[in-house]
Amino acid sequence: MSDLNLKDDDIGDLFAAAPVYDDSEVFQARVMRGLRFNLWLRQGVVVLAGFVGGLYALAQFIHMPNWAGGEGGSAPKVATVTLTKAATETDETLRAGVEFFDGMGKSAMSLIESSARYLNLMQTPFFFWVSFSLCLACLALYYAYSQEETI
Amino acid sequence: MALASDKPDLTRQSDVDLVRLSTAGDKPAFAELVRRHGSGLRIHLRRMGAQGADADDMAQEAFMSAYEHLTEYRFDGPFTGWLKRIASRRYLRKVRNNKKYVLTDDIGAYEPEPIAHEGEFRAHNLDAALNRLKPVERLCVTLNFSGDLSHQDIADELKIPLGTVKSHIRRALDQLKIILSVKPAPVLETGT
Repeated sequence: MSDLNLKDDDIGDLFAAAPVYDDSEVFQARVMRGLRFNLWLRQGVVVLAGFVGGLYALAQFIHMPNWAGGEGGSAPKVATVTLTKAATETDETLRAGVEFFDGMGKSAMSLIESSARYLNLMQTPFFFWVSFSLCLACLALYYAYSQEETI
Repeated sequence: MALASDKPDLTRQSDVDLVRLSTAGDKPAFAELVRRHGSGLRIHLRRMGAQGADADDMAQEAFMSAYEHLTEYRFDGPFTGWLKRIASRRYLRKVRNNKKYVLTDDIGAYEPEPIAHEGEFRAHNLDAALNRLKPVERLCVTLNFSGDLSHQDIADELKIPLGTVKSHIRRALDQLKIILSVKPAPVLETGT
């Protein structure tokens, strides 16, 4: 065996001569799958946020006539009564149908009201400032993260 | 009448063209960049000290991060250098969070795998030789030669003094030269 006379440049050449892995195709597929999943997740979150926001906006702007939901579970009762009416008054099909959908609408509104009985809270300055601060914090985190990644 | 396919052959495109296509939303162009630089990035992370599966995970994250930030690539250097910087930062962040001992100069915290005749150890492979270095020396020399970072950049990234970085690199190079300096003996052909 004989000694080689290596110089700094030779070491640099060794670093530059990187081997190619056999599974590079698999790695490529894995990266692209990850990208697709990220995109799907992001689109899903946007759609969900839009749906929730839309629902909330609907609850704010649409006022159901004669609606007294949210108090003591009256909404399901209304729905049940309406359904019974719709079932019994079969000769008045149109009326039954209208009342049925009317009842369903009221139930839906009551559901929104009861599941997030916080519509009133949502309209308070407290809620506004909390959500505003959260949004700002998210933006700040995102900005800090992107700055860290920036080269 | 189209005689050839409208889609350009991506394997013949330069990195710059592929980045431009990727920025415009062409996923196959980015896939070609991944195919082209995937192995290089994975080996770079391994040479910095990341373990197999961990290195691959970080390389994947680096590619995904690069895709998100493609518009920030300023075409002022090779694309692979930009990628390696993203990956290096990710690895260093992990080291700072989980394996702080890697950045210390204390050899006691790092035990290289034992070998029969320490003084006689020679490697004919850079990766095997890098395994014989102290982690911080290995980091510095890899960031310098593979990551194309200047000494000052490395000092900034590792948050250690410039002089320390220089001495780590010098020591690492001397060690690598010693470890790699033996040429394998030629195989003698025997006639029949």
